[in-house]
Amino acid sequence: MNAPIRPKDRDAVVQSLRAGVVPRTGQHLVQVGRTREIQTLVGDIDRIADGGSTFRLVIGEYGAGKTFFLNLVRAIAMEKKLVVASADLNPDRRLHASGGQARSLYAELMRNVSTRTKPDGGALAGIVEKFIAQAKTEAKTAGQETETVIRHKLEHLTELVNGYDFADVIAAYCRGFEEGNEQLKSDAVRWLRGEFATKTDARQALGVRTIVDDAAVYDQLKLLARFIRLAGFSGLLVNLDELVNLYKLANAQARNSNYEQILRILNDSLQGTAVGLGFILGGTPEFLLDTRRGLYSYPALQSRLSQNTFAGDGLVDFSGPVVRLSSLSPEDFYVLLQKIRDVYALGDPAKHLLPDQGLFSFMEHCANKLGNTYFRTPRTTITSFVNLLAVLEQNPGAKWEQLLGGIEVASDTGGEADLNVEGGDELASFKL
Amino acid sequence: MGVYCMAKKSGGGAAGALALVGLAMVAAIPKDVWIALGVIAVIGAVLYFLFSGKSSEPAKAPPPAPARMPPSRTPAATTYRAPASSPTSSRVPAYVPDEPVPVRQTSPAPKAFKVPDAPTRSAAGSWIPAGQSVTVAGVTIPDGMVYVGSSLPTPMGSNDPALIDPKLNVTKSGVYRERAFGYWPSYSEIPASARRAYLNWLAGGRKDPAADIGYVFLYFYGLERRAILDAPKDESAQADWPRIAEELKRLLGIYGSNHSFHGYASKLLAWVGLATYSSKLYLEPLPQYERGWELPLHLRLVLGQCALDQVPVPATVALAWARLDPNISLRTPATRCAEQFEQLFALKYFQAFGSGMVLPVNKTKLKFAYAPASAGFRGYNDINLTFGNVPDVTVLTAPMKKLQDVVEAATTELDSFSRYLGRNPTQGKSLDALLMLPSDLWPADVRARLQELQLRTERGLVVMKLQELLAAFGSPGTATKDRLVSLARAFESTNIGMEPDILCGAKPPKGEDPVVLFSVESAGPHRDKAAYQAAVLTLQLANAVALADGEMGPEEMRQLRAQVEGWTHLTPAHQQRLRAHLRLLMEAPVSLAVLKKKLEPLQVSAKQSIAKFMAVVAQADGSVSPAEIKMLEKVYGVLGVDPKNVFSDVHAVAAAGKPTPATAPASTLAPSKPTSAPASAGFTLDAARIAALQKDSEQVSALLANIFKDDEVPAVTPTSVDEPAEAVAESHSVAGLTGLDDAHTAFARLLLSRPTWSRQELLDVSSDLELMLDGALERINDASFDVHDVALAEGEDPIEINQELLEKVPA
Repeated sequence: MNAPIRPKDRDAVVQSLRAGVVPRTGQHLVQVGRTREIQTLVGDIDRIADGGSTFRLVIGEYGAGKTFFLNLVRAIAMEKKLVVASADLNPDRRLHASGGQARSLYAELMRNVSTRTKPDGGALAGIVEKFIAQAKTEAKTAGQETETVIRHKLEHLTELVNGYDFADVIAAYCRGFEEGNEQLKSDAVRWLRGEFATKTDARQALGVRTIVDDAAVYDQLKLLARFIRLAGFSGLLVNLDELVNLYKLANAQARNSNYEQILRILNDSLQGTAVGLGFILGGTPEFLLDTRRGLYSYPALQSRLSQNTFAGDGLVDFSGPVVRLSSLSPEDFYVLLQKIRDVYALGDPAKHLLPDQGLFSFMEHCANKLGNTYFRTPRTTITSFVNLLAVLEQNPGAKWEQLLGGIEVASDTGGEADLNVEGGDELASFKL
Repeated sequence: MGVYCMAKKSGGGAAGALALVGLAMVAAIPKDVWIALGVIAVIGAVLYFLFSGKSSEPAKAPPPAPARMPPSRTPAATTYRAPASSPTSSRVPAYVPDEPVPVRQTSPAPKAFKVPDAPTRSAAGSWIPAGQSVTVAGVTIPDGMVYVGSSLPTPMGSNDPALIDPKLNVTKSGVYRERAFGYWPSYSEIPASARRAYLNWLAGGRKDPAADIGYVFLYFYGLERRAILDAPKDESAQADWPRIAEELKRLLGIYGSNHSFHGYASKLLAWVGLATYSSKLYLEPLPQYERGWELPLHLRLVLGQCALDQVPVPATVALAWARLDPNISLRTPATRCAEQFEQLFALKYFQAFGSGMVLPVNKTKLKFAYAPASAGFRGYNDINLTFGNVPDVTVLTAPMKKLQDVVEAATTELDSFSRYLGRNPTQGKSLDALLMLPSDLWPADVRARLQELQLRTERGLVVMKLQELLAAFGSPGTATKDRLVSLARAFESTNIGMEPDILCGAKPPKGEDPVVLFSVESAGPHRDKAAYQAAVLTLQLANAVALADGEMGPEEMRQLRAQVEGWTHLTPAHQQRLRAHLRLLMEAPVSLAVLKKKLEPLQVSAKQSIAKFMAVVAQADGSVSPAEIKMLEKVYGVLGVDPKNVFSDVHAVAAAGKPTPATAPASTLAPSKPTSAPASAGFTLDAARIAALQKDSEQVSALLANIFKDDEVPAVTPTSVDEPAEAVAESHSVAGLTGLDDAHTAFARLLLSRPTWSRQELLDVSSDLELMLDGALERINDASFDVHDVALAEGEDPIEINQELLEKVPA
């Protein structure tokens, strides 16, 4: 609060909030509370940077700030020189599928690969090139062929699934660069992004026999994590949001295969077999707790995810894989408004557009209009608040007291959609 | 009858007589003397004419013969301390009275008797001891206990009324059932027929209930004299006390219905009883008392001794006091159920005073003023029995009030029992009656059965039909709710818990319904706590739900029991009760319909809070198992709350369980906090919480500030990048960027020369430098981030160079 805020961060935050989305940068400016949770995740990131592996489920209600939290963690990770791949799950993107949906998720992740220098995604090529550039430098000093150095460096990747082909692709990229073959380079990147749909295409383009298909998504991520460390980054953090989409899968078998993948990831990271790879999964309570369709329906996961029996009654244990975000309380919301006001004023208290009483009145207004939901699902109310600030800023004569009455706040009902489950194939209705 | 006021009158006479001897003669003696003289004159004249000598010697002169009874010169002595040789001192060595029971007698007319005693006398009246018979006028009086003789003078001069003068003529027959004389009878003065009747009565064993009370009094006068006047100076008279007491009791048994006689006889009995006593009477068993106008003397003495010795009044004594004190009112229960009252009184007394009430030593000393019945006592002043320093506690009101309270407490508890007994006098032992008693007062056999039951419950849950249970306690058929409640209460006081929990408002079971008995420690904690109620409701709901989809299998049972174990927020007693309840549910499940009906009237919000609470309960053990979630979902369904809320609620509890919101009470029992915080009525914010949050947020800011560093931080070398050392040359660094090799440095220098580049242009440049564009940009930006916390180049096409950075860097 006391530090000046960069206009760029301010604009990023304000614009995102106004649009009703979570800011991609500058989240730390409006973070309210949750010290322990953030500490937990920072610890995770440090572990990844040390070559470890982590797995977290971030569970919170609609509007509790899961996405915000994930983005904050993402920003922190990038700041700590991690590569972050993020994606939202949706019906066409899953952890496991047979119709290309998993590959689609992988492709989405790769498109969104971000580093500190490319926080908005698309950093994959940069990472590959960084790796090759290093290899070239090494080759030059050692008087060797670049490809030899690359092969040598990638040697211990080959023990992993798809490892040989991965090395081939990187080498192909290098070759493409040296030969000025843009097609080869882009083919290599396409392969890395999982955009080849058939093996034949890949073979023709790159001479490799495999592609990143539905079954190989997680293996590929493990491979990538190692590669990223070779390229000089600390590790890979995979950020998956909206896992409630798995919960919504109507087909029990499909759901279970996905949960199986999660179990595999969980086991790997808890056993430490993955290197420099971390997963953060965001979901709603029903995704976790529902005993018919949620993670709890999968007994092996349930036993791993259940709370520490000794925690509770004021004792906490954040070492378990589940981080629970409580919904915002009015007080949380109040502090959040303070922070937004502060960001809007670039951290200068003299420029505050609204006194504390104004914040209070605003909340009162919202409470009267919307009832209790206004602070639990703050998306729309925050938007209104930012709009109010904008009006006040541009019309210096305007009085907030007068404006307040006219503010329209809409109820945020997006959360209900989370619970709508796909029309089932389980004979939900059956008539004779 | 007819003898009421003798004592008083004699007292009055004595006072006046002291002064004038002559007057005394006129007042007292004449009556006797005139008669005597008349008799003498007549007899004398007759004799004189018949025999010419003065040989005849009828002993009619009232004055006593001084020679015969030297000690009975009593009248002459001004005062004599009759018990100076007191029985108390002689017969009870333990008791050393400093002032041994003095009977004071102020002789009104010391000289008075000298005058009439001049004539010589023959047979002085003597006491015929018990067991000896005597024949008077042909009538044999068995068993003695009368004075027989010619002379037994009283201070007033005449013979003692009780003296049977064998010389006096007696008719042939007399009927003692008729009254033949007035007040203050004297043997010497009553008609001859009455004498005959008296002798007959005596001879008949003195027991005909139909006898006129006057004769009984005549007899009584003798006893009185023997016990009070003779005893102090005559050892043998003292020895007669027990016999006299016995006789008095016998007489009271026959003639006690006469109030006058009863009064005098009781007093004398008390006197006789107390003429000797131990100094620690409270250690001895109490005699049988009768409730009278005042507290019995003996009891007062006991109490007084307690006070004197500062010994707690034993419960038995206190009970006697409470019963006998006319100031303490006893209501019907105390008399109707005397036995129970006794026990309960002892119990309450113990509760109130422990080993007993300690009485204060008050100043009023205990004194027994004896009012004699016999006219023969006239002339003796106040006949008192004093007891040294023993205080008379009956004048105290405070102890009495306390006693009254105890009585009241005991009586109140017996009220219902007493009323029941009043209606059904023969049902005193029935279960219904017992239930109205505190279980401490139950008869031994019932208590034994209770004990047995208790042992059984300690081994495990006992399931039986209500009928069987009632039968075990001797009650056939059904019992009303009140009765069951008191049964349950009685059970609880003996550490037996009962389900259904009638004491907490459960529907009382019917005869065929099962009940579960179990062992509880002490009375157990209150069961109206929301946590417990919710747990019960959960069990019922769970049970109902389990039943809804079929039988309640052992698996489900086990699971529910495990759940009860897991509810660590409940006390062990609660858990025990829940287990019993569960057992009961297995025997007699609550149907879903009933539950639904019960829940129906509840408001939606109430149902929601119940549901939420169950979510809390489910997590009491710190974890939520899928089984629990499943059960919760069903319960929610029954409650009419959307089952989807289960997850939200469970999550809210779990999330609220951590201290991140600094002030939130981190208790799992706290109902989901977000719902409770905002008040719909008034909009308020918790200032303390805001402050805590702000502090918390500052911590976050500090935490994050370390990560999102600002510009001024000195350059940090990349941690894990393998930089060829020779490639780095400080001198070559561009814009302070470190860790770049020659090619990259050159590239960075070039980049900074323009504000924007098209991608194609840079591709060409980079290929010239044998660099890969994306990789090179990545590296340069990375280095730039390390130093300046901003990227040097941004964008894809065109690529913009951060001018901000340009300003900072000296070209």
